[in-house]
Amino acid sequence: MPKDASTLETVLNVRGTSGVAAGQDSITGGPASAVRVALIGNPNTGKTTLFNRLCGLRHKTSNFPGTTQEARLGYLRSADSDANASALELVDLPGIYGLELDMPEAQVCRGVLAGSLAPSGERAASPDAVCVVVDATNLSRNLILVGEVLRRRLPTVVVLNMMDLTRSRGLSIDLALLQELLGCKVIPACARKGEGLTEIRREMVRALVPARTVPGTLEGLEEWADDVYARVASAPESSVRSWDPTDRLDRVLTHPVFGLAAFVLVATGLFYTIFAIAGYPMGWIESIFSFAGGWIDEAMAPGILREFLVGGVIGGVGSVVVFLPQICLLFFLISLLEDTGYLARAAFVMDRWLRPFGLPGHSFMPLLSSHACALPGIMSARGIPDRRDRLATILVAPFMSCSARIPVYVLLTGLLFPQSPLKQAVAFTGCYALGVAAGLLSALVARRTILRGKSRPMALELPTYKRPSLRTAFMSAFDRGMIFAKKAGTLILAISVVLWWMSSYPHVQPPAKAVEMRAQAEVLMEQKTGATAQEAEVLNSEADAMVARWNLQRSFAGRLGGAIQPIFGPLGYDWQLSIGVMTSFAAREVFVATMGVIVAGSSDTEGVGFAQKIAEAKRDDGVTALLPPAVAWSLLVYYVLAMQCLPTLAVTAKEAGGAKWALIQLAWMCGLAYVGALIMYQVLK
Amino acid sequence: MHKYAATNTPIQPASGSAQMAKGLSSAVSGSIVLGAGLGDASCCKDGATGNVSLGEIEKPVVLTTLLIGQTGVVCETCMDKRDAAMLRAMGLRPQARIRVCRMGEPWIVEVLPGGAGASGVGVGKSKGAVADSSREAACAPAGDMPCARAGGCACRIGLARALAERVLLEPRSIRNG
Repeated sequence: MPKDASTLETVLNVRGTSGVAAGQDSITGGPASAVRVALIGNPNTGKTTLFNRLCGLRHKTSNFPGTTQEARLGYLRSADSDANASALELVDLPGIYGLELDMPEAQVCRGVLAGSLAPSGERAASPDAVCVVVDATNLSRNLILVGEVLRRRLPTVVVLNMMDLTRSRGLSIDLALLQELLGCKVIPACARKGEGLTEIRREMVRALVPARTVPGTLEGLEEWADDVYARVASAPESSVRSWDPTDRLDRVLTHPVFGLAAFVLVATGLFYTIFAIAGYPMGWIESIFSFAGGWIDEAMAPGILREFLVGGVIGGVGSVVVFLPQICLLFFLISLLEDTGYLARAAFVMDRWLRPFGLPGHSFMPLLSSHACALPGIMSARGIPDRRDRLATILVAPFMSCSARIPVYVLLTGLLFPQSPLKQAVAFTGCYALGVAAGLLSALVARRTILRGKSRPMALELPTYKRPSLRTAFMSAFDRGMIFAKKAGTLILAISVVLWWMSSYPHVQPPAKAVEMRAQAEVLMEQKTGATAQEAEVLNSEADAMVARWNLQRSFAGRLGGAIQPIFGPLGYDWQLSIGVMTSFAAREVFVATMGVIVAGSSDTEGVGFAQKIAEAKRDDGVTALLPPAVAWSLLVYYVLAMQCLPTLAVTAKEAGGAKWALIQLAWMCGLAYVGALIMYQVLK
Repeated sequence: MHKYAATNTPIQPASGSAQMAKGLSSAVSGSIVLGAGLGDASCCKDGATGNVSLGEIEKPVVLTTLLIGQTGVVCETCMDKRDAAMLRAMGLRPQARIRVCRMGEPWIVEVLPGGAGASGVGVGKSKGAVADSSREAACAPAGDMPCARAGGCACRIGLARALAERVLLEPRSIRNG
């Protein structure tokens, strides 16, 4: 090493940042004087695994400002003795193949290395050191990125990851020679097994400005990389295999028929696991929120605050947080699949089917996930490399029939075919098919209009098959869960409160008839006989139902529903159905509960005879049925196609990088739903 | 001597699959242009200019005409600049020796390490061997690339047909697997 090379450690000592006080590297933020290290590498080099190993839960996830690129900032300490330990701040950069590529990920990396970009809320400054993670089994290609980083003349360390695979394949790398040729420290490691972590933590603060120069042109860099590789890598003859299992597996997993069958099997297993396992924690969460609501109801005196806490906060947030287990489990399993190397193959299988609609194979998993809930589906679209492809996927994901639509489908198909489970099942399946068809056609329209541009043919690196890392999967699930929980605690909470307020206020005097019925019930109760008590109970229950219907009709949401009824009139909806549509704007399943309140006077939609009451419900004229077949079909089409989920809009705005996309999604889906429902009603009436 | 060393004679690409690339092949001139600008579709047409022109020798071979197990050296990619730059960064660059692992949609190729020059002169076996990017080296026997053959240090790339049809290989570099 050259004598004049200044180490980062020296710089730190000058700055007086060594020996940072304990407790400063908390999860909420590192110390202002922490050493910032940028973690960079090709995709599939184990960079995320290394980050998780080094930082564990001591990290936070945000975005790079002005981009949709995720930024992870982790905190750790150098491996020096306690007195000299430095606080390190690790910035996990997106995986890239080249720093100079015209891609958002590369732009972010360039910005961070140049000091012009930092994760949201962090100071923008050049990193104190760069840690390049290299796949030792693919050294030749990885050296190009190493060269591009070395050109930046920042203190650099190179981590040769996956050394276990290198060893098992009989490959050997002359580390001393490599270190000399690169002019910076090279650390062998196996992040999966935790090998080399101490040295990495120690060397990060001792990083050197590279002592070697590398060629400035791409061609020169490629030649340099080939040269370095040729000099440091070797493999024995015995490593030659005439039968390559990767070839065989690839041929099966990307085969048009077998590949599809394998994918169907994997996807079915994935979603079965989600539905089978997530049900338990979802039930627990429901119980906790229900208990909390009940406890507040009993502990607090009646009043606005109690209503706000029970109905607005606990009811609103509880109904969204209940999806947290599904989201965490989905990302846990997707991470496992990704880690095995299978997902890249699956993307190619689905590419054939989705490409005609302008979507890449990568879109399949987000679209499939959206059948459980559009929120994790949209969030998982982050993995789609092309921006236009990603936006198209986000825009159409809510067309997939999510679990919140199921109660509406059950109610309406039950009304349409009360005596025929088979026809109900066909109609139910038709709803799912309509959603998929609408989504794919909408993607096609989007790609030919607002997202116009040549559809880029797919090219993907197919990573080596390997055993997945549970730790990485846990961290991925934790990250996604935290992002969702934060959203539930802020934006979704605000939306829930507003909607609760709109459907609960203003308080109005109960109808005279209900007051009279309650008075009668009181008189009957005073007689204290079994028969009269029962009669009083019936009267009270009827009065409650009447009051609930009365209140909802006169609430802000009810009035709004009444005001917009002329808009829904051509679809065959009266004011009652219009209120149902209006209140379910927050979440589709609310429609069923609202109809319960309006028609049956209770939100208990699982009680005996609920469907019967809805079927027999009349309009204001007392003669016309509330839901004749033409209207039921119209509603069914409306709910398949309409954007009736505010949390989804919020997530779309965030993931797509602007409220504009959420508004486009809302307008397109609701417009399509309106036209579809109108045609259905007008044809069938 | 391992099994690949015995099959080093240049071979003709599979005639049966030649039709797959006829559209592109017809647009490709008889000249091989080494080091031409990747991603510039004009480089595939008559009158293309490049850094080094080797004259009228043979037409480049389209990747999709190769059979499973065959290897060849990339001479250029004729596609959108962004796609070409991406593939180049992924390792599919001029002078890279590739092996066909799967035909059809997708085409799966293994990019053998060290570039054709380096690997052609025995990467991994003789330390200190310096990359030789001359055309002779590019077409040199690729039999002694043990780590690549073992699936060891090669990287595997899946390509949609539309891209695979636009990867051109040097005709004299094609070898049987």
